[in-house]
Amino acid sequence: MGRYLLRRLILMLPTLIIVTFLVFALLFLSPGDPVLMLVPIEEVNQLSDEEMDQLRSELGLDRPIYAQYADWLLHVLQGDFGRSIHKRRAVGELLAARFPVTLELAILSVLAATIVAVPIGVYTAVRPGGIGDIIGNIVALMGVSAPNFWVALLLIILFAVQLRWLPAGGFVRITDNPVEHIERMILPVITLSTALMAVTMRLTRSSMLEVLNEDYVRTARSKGLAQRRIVLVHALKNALIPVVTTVGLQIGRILGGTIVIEIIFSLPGMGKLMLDAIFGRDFPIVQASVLLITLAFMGINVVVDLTYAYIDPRIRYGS
Amino acid sequence: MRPVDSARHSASVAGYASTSKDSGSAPHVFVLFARRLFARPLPRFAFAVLMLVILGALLAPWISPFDPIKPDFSAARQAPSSTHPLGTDDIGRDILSRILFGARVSLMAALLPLSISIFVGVPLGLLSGLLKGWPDEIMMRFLDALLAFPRIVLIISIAGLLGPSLVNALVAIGIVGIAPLARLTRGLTLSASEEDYVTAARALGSSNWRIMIAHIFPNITAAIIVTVSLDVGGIILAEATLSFLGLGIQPPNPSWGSMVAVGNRYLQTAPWISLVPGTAIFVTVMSINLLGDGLRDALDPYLRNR
Repeated sequence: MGRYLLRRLILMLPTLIIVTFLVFALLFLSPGDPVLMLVPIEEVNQLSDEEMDQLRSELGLDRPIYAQYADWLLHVLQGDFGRSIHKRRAVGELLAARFPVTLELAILSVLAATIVAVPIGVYTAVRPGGIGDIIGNIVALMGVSAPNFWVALLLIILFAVQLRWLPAGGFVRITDNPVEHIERMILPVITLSTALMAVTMRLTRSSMLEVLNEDYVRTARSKGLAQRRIVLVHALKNALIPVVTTVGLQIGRILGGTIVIEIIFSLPGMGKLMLDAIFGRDFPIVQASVLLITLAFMGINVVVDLTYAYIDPRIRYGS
Repeated sequence: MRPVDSARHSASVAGYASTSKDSGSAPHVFVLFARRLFARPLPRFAFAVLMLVILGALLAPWISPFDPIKPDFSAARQAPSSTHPLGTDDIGRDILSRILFGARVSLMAALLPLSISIFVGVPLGLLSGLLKGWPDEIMMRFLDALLAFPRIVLIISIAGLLGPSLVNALVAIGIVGIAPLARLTRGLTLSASEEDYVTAARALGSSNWRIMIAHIFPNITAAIIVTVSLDVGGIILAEATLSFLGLGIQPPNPSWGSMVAVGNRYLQTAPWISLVPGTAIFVTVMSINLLGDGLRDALDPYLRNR
C-alpha cells in the first residue's frame, strides 16, 4: 500500500507541475498589463513610466517566464501565496479562514448524497421496472437537469419564506452556536447534494443490476441464502466500486458548486472569497483559490483510488 | 419493432456517417434514425419542447408582447396577469418578453462553446491517437492537468480574468470543454486504428492524414455526437451559472441566468421573477438531456438496456 501510494504520487508530479504552471499563467490571461493584476489600479495610475518599470522589476515581471514561475512555486511550497491587493493581508491567512467552511459544505454534501442515493439505487435495482424504479429515474433526471442556484431558491422560498422552518442564509460558527450552525448548513447541503444524489442513484442502480446477474450471485441464490443477504452483503460490495469512483470525480463538481451556493446563502467560504476577488480584480486570491481547490480535488482522487484496495480484494496494489 | 426491421436499423446506423451520401431507393438513413429516435414518447416530448424554445428564440422580436429592455417603473413587480402572462420584473419589464429574448442567449450558449470544443478538441484527439509516441504522451499529460481542475472553477476563473461579458463566458466554457472531448476522440481513434480497415488503408499506401480524415473520423462521428449531445445540457447550465454570478451577460440584456439573479432579492414579495426563468432553464436542460439519452439509445442498440 505504501509503495502504491508513493508510485501514485510520483506519477502525479508531471500533472502537478503543469497544473501549477497553468494556475501561474492565469496572470497573463487577462487583457492588459500584468502589473494591473498585482497592484491596485489607483496606485498604478499615479506612477510615471520610470516608476512603472521599477515596479515591474520589483515584482519580477521583467524576468523570463520560467524564472517567474520557479520563484512563485518556491513561495507557494512554503505556504506563501503572496498578499491580497485590496485586503492588505497575506492570502494564506485569508484562505486558512475560508477553506474549512467550503470543505465542511463539500464533505457534508457528499455524505448526504451517498447516504440517500445508495439505498434508493439498490432498491430500484432489485425491482427494475417497478413504480419505485420509474419514479427514481424521473427524479434522477430532474436532479441532473436542475441548475443548483434554482434549487437553492426553491428551497429558500419553501423552507425559509413560506414555512419559516430554516434561516434563508448567513453563517454562525460551530463554536459560537452549534445548533444555529447546523440549521444554516441544511439548505446549502441539500442544494449541493441534489445533482450528486441523482448521478449516484443512477449509477448504483445500473452497477447493482450488472452485479446481480453475475455467477457468484446465482451461486449464493442456489445455496438458499436470503435475498436480503445476497443483495446487501454479496452484491453491494462489488456494486459499490464504480460508485466510489464516480463520487470521487463528482467531488470536483461539488467543490465548484460551492462557489454559487456560498454566494446565495452568504456563507464565508473560499468560493465567495474567490468570486469577490474576481470582481475586485484581486489576482493573488483568485490564483491561490483555484490552486487550493484543484489540489484538494486531486488529493481526494488519490484517496478514492486507495479506498479501492479496501473495497475490492481483487485489486492488490503494490504487490 | 419487428426483428427484421431492427436488424436493418442497426446495420444502417452502424454505417451511418459513411452512407449518408447514398441516395438509393431505401429510406434515407436519417429517416430510419429519426423513426427510431421518435418511436418512444419521451424523446418526442423533449423534441417538441426544444422546438418551442428554438422557435421562441428565432421569432422573439416579432412575438414578444413588450420591449425586453425598456423599464416601466409604473408596472414594477406585477404578478402574472392577462397583460403580463408571466408577470414583470423589478423595473417593470415583461418577463415573457425577456424569456423569449433570453432563449437566444441560451441557444447561442449551446452553439459557440461547442464549436470551440469540437473544432479544437476533435482534431487534437485524432492527431494524438494516430501519431502515438511522444506527441501523444505530451498531449495526454497536458490534458490530464486540464482535467485535474474542477470544471466550473476553471470556467469561472478564465471568464472572470478575461473580463465579464457573454462572449468571454462562452469562450471560457468552450476552452474548458476541449480537454474532455480531445481525450474521448483520442480513445476512439486508438481503438479505431486497430481495425482492419485502417490496416488495409495503410497497406494501400494511404497517408496518416488520409487515414485520419477519410477512414477514422467518419467511423467515430456517431460516438462523438452522442457524447456532445449529452454535454449540451451541462453547457447551457454553465452559461446560466456564469450569468447568474454576473460573469456572463451584462445588464440590461436578458439571459435566463441573470434574470434569476435579479429575482434573488425579491423572493419574499415577487418570487416569480426568479422562478420563471429558473423553470425555463430546468425544462430546457431536461429536454436536452432526454433527447441526448434518446439519441444515445437510437445510435447504439447495445446501450439500450443499461
